[in-house]
Amino acid sequence: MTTPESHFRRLLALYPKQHRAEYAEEMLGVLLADGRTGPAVTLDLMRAALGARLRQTSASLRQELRDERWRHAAYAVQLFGSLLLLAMALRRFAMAILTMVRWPESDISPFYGVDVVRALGWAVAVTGAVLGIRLLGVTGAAAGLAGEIVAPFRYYLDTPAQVLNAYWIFVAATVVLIAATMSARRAVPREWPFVVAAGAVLVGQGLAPFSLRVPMFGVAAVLALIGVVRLEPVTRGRVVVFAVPVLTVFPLVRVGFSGFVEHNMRHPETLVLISPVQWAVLVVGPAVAFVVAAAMDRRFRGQIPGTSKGA
Amino acid sequence: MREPTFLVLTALASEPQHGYAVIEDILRMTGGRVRLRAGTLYAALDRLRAEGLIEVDREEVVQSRLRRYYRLTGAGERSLTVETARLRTQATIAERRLRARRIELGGATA
Repeated sequence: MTTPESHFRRLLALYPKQHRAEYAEEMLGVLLADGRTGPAVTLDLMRAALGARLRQTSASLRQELRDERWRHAAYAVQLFGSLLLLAMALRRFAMAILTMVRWPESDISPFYGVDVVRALGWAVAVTGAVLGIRLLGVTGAAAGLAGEIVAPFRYYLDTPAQVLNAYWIFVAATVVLIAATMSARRAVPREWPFVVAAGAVLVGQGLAPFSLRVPMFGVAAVLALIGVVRLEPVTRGRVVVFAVPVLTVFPLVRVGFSGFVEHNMRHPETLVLISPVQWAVLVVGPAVAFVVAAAMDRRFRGQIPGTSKGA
Repeated sequence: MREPTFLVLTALASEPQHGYAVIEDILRMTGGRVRLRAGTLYAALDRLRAEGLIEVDREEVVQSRLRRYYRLTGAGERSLTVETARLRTQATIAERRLRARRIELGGATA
């Protein structure tokens, strides 16, 4: 085997299997006849191989998401997610009321407006999910998401870290909105009481003494987790895939933005805002996590004996 | 339509051609300006096949290597016709404006 041929074969191995089977030998002939080598040819093949992989992943993802079982999982995500985001919104109301009661002189006027919109939005989203009215669910989730985005952005120029701290809620609200647009309702999952209980604990957590806040958040998380774990296996894996983008945000912000947050804490006189590249990472990171999780979930299901790829 | 796609369709408009012949044809057509690389060419060929604008005409083995000839389909011919008309319209507009500009500037070219 000639050196250029082995070099080209290694590069062609980067293409997806299906593409290799169709074109690899033919491409090898063209590459050898063309005679060009060097970094430009290598980069061209690497870029084209990446493009082919992205197209294949996107096509298989689109095909996968058309599956009814994904739409049923989306319904569980829509219902559970709307419930938990409603609880988070109500928790903020409860905290504002508590502040008013304890310190009547404190000014909580900035709390109103957008906070009411997001709370009402999530209430409408829950109603839409329970009644199985898609338009109501989508409209409520869209209003909730808008509220979740606007609320921390009011303070972005003064404390950019607030946006980072709330970023997981943006992603969660986006996931719920997407789930609402694609969901197909069968019946309300039997596990809903666990999620409602988790929501109630979350609301109570906002009112609890500071020492109880972390344990109560843990209890809420465990209750929500029980709600998910008890779902039918067919739905459960897909619900976890929907949750992966949200879970990705925590390490992403912690690892990728620790220097950013520390700089702003130490130098309030020269605040740094989130750069376009950092925004791109914040947007692309969760999206890529979803694609990878969906691909892994599909592969994992395909490897379970006695199950089909779609089971 | 991106330029490599347009050029590949144009190359196949005259007769079925294999991959390397397409590269050489495009090089001639563009006066040496565009010399497609294999990765770019096969990305375009794969996409055009998926869109039904080209199809495989025949295969042969030359010096123990697979050589596949591609040809334009009816849909490909229509697509190339539309794109050619679009480019002609744009070129005509550009020409007209350049002519008017030269008249305004009294024959000066810059």
